[in-house]
Amino acid sequence: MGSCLSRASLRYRTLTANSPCVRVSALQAWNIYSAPGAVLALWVTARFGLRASLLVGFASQALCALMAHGSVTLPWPPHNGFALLYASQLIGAVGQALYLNNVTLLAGTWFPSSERDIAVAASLLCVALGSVFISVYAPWAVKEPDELNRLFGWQVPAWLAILVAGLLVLREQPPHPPSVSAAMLRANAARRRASRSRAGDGDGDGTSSWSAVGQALALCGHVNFMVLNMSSALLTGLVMMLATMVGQVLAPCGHGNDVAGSALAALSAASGASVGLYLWLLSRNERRRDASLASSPGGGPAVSSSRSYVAHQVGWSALCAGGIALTLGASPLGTTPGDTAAVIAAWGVLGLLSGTLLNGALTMEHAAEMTFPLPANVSVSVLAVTGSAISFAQVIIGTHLLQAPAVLACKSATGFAGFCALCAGAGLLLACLLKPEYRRARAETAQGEDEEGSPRGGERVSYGTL
Amino acid sequence: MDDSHEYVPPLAYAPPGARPARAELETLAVSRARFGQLAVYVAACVMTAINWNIVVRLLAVLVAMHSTPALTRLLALLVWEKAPVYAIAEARFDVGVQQVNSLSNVRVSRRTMRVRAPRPVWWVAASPEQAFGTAH
Repeated sequence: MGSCLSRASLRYRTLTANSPCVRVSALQAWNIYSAPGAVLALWVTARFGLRASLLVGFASQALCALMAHGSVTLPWPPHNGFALLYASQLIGAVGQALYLNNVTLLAGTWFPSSERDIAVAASLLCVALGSVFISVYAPWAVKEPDELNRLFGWQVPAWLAILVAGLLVLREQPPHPPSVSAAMLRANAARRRASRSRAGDGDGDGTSSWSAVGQALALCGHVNFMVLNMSSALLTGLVMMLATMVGQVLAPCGHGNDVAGSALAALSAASGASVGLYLWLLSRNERRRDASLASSPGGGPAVSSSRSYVAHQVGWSALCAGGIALTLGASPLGTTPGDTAAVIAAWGVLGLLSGTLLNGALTMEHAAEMTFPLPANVSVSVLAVTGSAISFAQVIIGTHLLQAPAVLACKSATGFAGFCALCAGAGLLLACLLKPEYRRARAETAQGEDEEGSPRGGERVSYGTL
Repeated sequence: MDDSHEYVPPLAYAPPGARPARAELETLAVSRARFGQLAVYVAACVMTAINWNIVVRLLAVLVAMHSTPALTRLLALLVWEKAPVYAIAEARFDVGVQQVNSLSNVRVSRRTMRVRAPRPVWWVAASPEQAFGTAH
């Protein structure tokens, strides 16, 4: 590992040897954001709890916004302003993992099993909505140099408002766990604390905090989880790579930048629509389930029936791979208005077919299901780091492959197309190899049955002795 | 920290009249608290995306301008295009409008396939020299 890093560092220094003042390191891409951010999030969450992790994350973003605002308003030399802007982004990039990596933990802590997926998908959908908003707002709001602080100035009070709201509203957990699995996790945590107290381990909390990082590393040996992890990373990374390189993919085929921009807009909009469709399907299924339970004698079981995550994963992966193939196949079309519309439509279809997988809610909840009784944020951390690494590698490889002459690049049988087909095929194949492993649902069902049948309305079931 | 380990099934599943009014109020309070958690979290998600899309573009452009040709090619692939904010940012940071124009003129080379792509990256970084303002 150290040797690899040394070689990469040497290569990077060679690349930038002629640059007197700039270093751009691929290694930093991972080191700055995914890995340390994930480790920090795991440690803070295990040591101080979910609420503290979210609040520290919000505070880091408020600090980030304040420093960025200062970079364009303070009467400093320009390069000092740039340094401040850069430092602010470092803080923001690392700090955001403190809350983004905890999305499934928040949903599992607060929402009943029937609403966990919806809460995660809706939260992650809002990230895309924020991108859409600022893409429209920024060019409209800033037209002169002195107006640049308009982009930064209002972020400071906005983040402070979120931080204050978090202090007032956020709580560690509800009075009673919203699901059987949440009750079990809470009981396990209490039992560990009691065990440490009995053992008189003064540094117990610190030790167990780091054990969350160890659990994340241990997940790398969980074959089924790693299959899910790699499948998702390959497919979503490929779509992200295509979105990143839409200009290079389309331009050699005669399409202008406007077509590339329209294709990306179509992909983004359709991706959001895909998540909306997924949310609607989830809520419709839950309504049907609730109706059937309410109509059953005695109220019916309160435990969640397991969703067929594997079927969903395979289905959405197949759709995603199909969308990628369709997009690459349509890109070499001509430049007549009809062909151009078809190219843009193909990218829109890619967004529609891949949006649910890109959103991440399905994969994250699936991972939480199969890695139970580990806290859900552990698997999300591994997914985040792996996804960043795979996506970054795909962009680098794809960029290299697209540097072929334009005439060759526009044909479907190029190395780039082959690379895309390889990644998409591998991702889909891995998804097909997934085995149903619904530990969380199984544990909930088993516990319900142990308590003389499924828990029913009005009955309280204690899991303090699990 | 509340260490209750009791799972209370949702009220909707309870037989009519099986739960006291106090439990209903408790359920309502938990529902409101649940909504509050999600509302704050969602607001943070929106603001995070906004931050990405502003600061990251500025960093990407600022770094790309000073890159070696090889790195310029890589970075130019990753810089969001058609953003007037860029030129404004460069003027604000006084790093050379001519360089901005050069970058803006990076178009698709039909021979070399080098072109900017309309997508930002947040992870580009500057050198220690630039970060500390001792070079350039």
